[in-house]
Formats: sequence, structure tokens, C-alpha cells
Amino acid sequence: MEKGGIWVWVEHWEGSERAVVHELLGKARELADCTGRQLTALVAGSKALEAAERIQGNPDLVLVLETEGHHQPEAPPFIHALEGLCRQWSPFLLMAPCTLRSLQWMPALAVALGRSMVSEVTGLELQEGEKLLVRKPMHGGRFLVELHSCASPPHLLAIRPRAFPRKKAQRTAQIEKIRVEECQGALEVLEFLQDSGSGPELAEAAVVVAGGRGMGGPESFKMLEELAGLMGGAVGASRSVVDSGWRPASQQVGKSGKTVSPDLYMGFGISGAIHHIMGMDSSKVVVAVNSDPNALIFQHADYGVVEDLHELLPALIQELRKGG
Amino acid sequence: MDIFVLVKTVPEAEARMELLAQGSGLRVEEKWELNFFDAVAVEQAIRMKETMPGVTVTALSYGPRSALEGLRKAVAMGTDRAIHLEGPELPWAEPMEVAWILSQALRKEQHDLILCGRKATDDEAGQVGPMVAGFLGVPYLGPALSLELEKSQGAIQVVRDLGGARERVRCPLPAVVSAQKGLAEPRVPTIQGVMKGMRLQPEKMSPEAQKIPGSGWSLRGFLQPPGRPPVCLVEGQDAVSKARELLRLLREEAKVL
Repeated sequence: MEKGGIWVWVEHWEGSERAVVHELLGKARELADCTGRQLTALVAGSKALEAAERIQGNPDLVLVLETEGHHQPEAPPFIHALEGLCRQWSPFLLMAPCTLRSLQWMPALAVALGRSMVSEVTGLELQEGEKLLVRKPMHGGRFLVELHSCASPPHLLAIRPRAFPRKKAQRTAQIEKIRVEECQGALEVLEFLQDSGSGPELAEAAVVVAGGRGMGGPESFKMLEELAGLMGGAVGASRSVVDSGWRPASQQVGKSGKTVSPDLYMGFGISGAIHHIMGMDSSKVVVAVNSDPNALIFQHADYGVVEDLHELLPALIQELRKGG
Repeated sequence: MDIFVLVKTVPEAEARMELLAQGSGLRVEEKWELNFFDAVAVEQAIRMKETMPGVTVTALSYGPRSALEGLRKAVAMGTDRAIHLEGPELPWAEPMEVAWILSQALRKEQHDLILCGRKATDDEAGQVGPMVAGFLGVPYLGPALSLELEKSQGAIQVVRDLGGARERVRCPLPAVVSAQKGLAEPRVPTIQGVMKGMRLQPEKMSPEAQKIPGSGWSLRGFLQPPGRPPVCLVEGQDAVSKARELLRLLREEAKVL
């Protein structure tokens, strides 16, 4: 099968693909259909075949990169192979989720191919003459910058989670395996530590419930965890909460933490410092709960509740349990 | 041992900003700070200098006059040298171009370890560090949650954040390491440090005139996302009635539940 066209990198852990992969495949399908190109998904690493079978609905072809040894998907042999495949098949576009993992290899691939890339992309359109128009936030989402592609393909894009909707998938893509040569990188992996955690990843969650200093202490976050569980969401935190050691740094939303764009963001006891706003202002619907009616966060919210969160949280949990 | 820290000056979060006509650029209030993640990298470098003999720490920055502000902060925190690679004031710069210019400057200097922040808070690209490593042909490790130099001083071990997992990796020097929050808490400079930063006359270098190998994107312009309408305050007698009303609004009006 013809292998050029539009490529999507499938980020996964042990066969479980990241939710953002489906968003990328949906957008890539749309681009492939309107340009008459093939859509190819690339999967590598341990249990790649499991991931390949789970994402078969949207692509025309799934390429599974295999090695002798056991490697994480972003290990040097795969990235080296990806460079070779890009040269061999000249894809029009390579899209990867913009994550801490893809920012380890895509810039290196860009240097190797002599093609610059755009990261944190939130908008992508095809324009006349096969030019791409991409949009990405700057200054914590206060502005968007628009860029035109001006070099020949492949165009390399790292796409922010929740930038595009998931699309229903109807196909059953052909799966093709490619044997990849082992290669020695200078890096030696000594230890792999999987973080424990349940529920969706913060940046990918459709609902985020975040707590600030107004939570009063780490124990109150049990209520937020329960609320998040009932809503299928993830727990976030403000900088001061993380700096006080109440929550892990991986839950920090804001300038020095993560950017979230859920359908629903709920902030409890968060004052609304600009550092925090920069990480959540692109959320679709924002709810702020604060006992101080003058809290800045109300200027960035769709719905505001002026109430003691220690009263409101149990009431919300109670109501949601009833609503079943 | 020669440690270089790549630093960028960015607008403070509170700086006022507005679109220029037709979105051709941004007007940014002159309120600058050292990029947060770069400050973490500077702190890491200074700690290594404080715990080992024979370490020199150099801050290197590419950009217009405002780049001096970040360099001043780096010197105030304790770096030995500061180099300013003078560049034009641009509304947007291609990360690959910046990485190329930095890597060309680094080639002229003895370097064992290159540190940088995992991203800048203005353009949020997160590409310059790994691209510098690519151009220099050395390993890239990051974003680092911890960094240890092995006794031989010829290799480092880094715990890197993979988002949902961490990995302890090892590589020989020279290498590029990017800093994640948690690697080191940036110190507050001493008064003497601040004075030193204010008096700073940085070493100046001119970027190589040579065109970078392959760029790919041109600036079309800037947009401002639409603001939110005024907040709708949820009414109710008590917490329970407010909770009910909020959930009703989220279900029936906002349709997000």
C-alpha cells in the first residue's frame, strides 16, 4: 500500500493509547479525505500490536515498528527508523500528540530532516496550494499566533490534547509490520518508574476539578477526588497548593505546570492569579467557587458560586450521587 | 567543568500586552523576567558549582536588548559569565533558528554540560533544548526532575519526566539537559548578587550570518481569542440549593454534564 500521505504517531503505554491519539486520527482523517491522501498510523514499542488493533478505525494503514529487544515507543531505534521512513516515503504531514514524550524526539527528528516543527498546535487548516495554516497559543493563551508552512513537506506538528474532537471510526485498517534495526543511542535507560494514578490524564480530561489554597489543607482534596470520580474527571491544583506539598507537581495547572482545556473546569478556593489563569483559560466552560465575591477568578468564569467550598463540595457530591 | 545555561527573557505574566494593527505583532509592556524553567536550570548549575571545585557557569542568551534582563537575573543568582548573542526584536522566532544560532555559539566554547528550561512561558515551544542537542550531536535528557554527576565527572544520571511515568537515564558528557519544575527551587538573589547583575556588562557575540539549515514556517499574524461574557452568579438560599442550581445550569444551559 502507498505509504506517503498523512502520518500520525500513536503514543501509548504498553498497548494503551493516549486519548489524544484519537483526536489526531480524527483530524488526520478529515485532511486525508479532502486531499485524497492515505492516512497511516505509526505504532512502536512494547505491545505496539495491541495499540494498533485499538486504533484501526480511522487510518488506512497501521505500520507497526518492531525490534528484537524490548523498548519504549520513543526509544532510539524507532526514532532512527522514523527518520528513514520519512526519507523513503516523503509523507506530507507527520502529527504527534504534544506531550513531554514527543518533545523528546520530534525536535531531534526535525533537525535530522532539516524541517522545523510547530508544537502546542491547537488549530490546523489546509489552504490553497497545499499550504498549511496552523494556530498555537502564546503568552498562556492570551494570544494565538498563526503560521504558514513555507517549506516542502514533511510538515512536522505536535498537537495539543483536546484541540480536535474525537471522530467516529468505521474502517478496519490493514496492519503491516516493519522490522527495525537495533541501534545504540548514547542514552542508557537504568530504571522505568510508572506513576500510579487512576482516571484520565489531566491535560486530556473532559472535566477538571481544581483546588487552591482555599481548600484549607491536603485532606480536603479527598472531596475533589470524589467529585472528579463522579464526573469522570481529573484533579488539578494551583501553584501554591503544589508548593505547599498538598498535591504532586504533576497536578499543577498554570504557567509553570500544565495547560488544560476541558469541556468543564471547576475551580474551588482558587483566587485566580494570572499564573493559574494561563493554564485554564482555554477551557470551554469555567465554574468558580469561592467565598470571596471579589476573587479574581470570577472575571474568568462562566458560572460563579459565592459559597464556602466546604459546604458546597459535599452538597455537589451528594446531588451527583443521587442523580446517579 | 564548564556548564552553560541557555536562558530566555520573557514578559512577566502581569505585563500588559496588546495586538498591533492587523495582528502584525504584539506590543508588550517592558516588564521582563527570567523564564521560570530557565531559572530552575540556573539554580541547578549554581548548586553544582557550589558542591564541586573547578566549575564555571555561563549564562547564554540570544535576543534583543531585553535579553539583558534575564542575564542580569542569572548573574544575580550566581553565574560566573554572561554572554549576550544579539538578535533582532521579533514577534515570533522559529525555534529551530534560535537553536541553530545558540549551537553555533556553543561550538566556539568549551562545554561539558548544557542546561536549559523545558520550555519558555511566552511562545511555549519546548524545542530549543532538544534541537541544540541535535545540532551539536550530543544526547538530550529531559525534562529533568533530578540530575547527578557521576564521580568520574564523565557521565550524568537524570530522572526525566515522561508525563505519567519517570525514567532514570544515564549518558556520557557533553549533553543537553532541560529543567522541569522540581529539579531545583530557584533561589532569591542576595543584595550583592542583585548589584552584580545591575552592573553587568555581558560578553557580546554576533550570531553567525549563515542561514539555518531548513526552516519551515512563516508568521501570518496574531489573534486574540474572544473573552468570556460576564460571570453568571448562581443563586440559592444555601449550599445545597446552590449546588442543585449549578448542576441544573451545567446540564441544561451549558450542556457539559
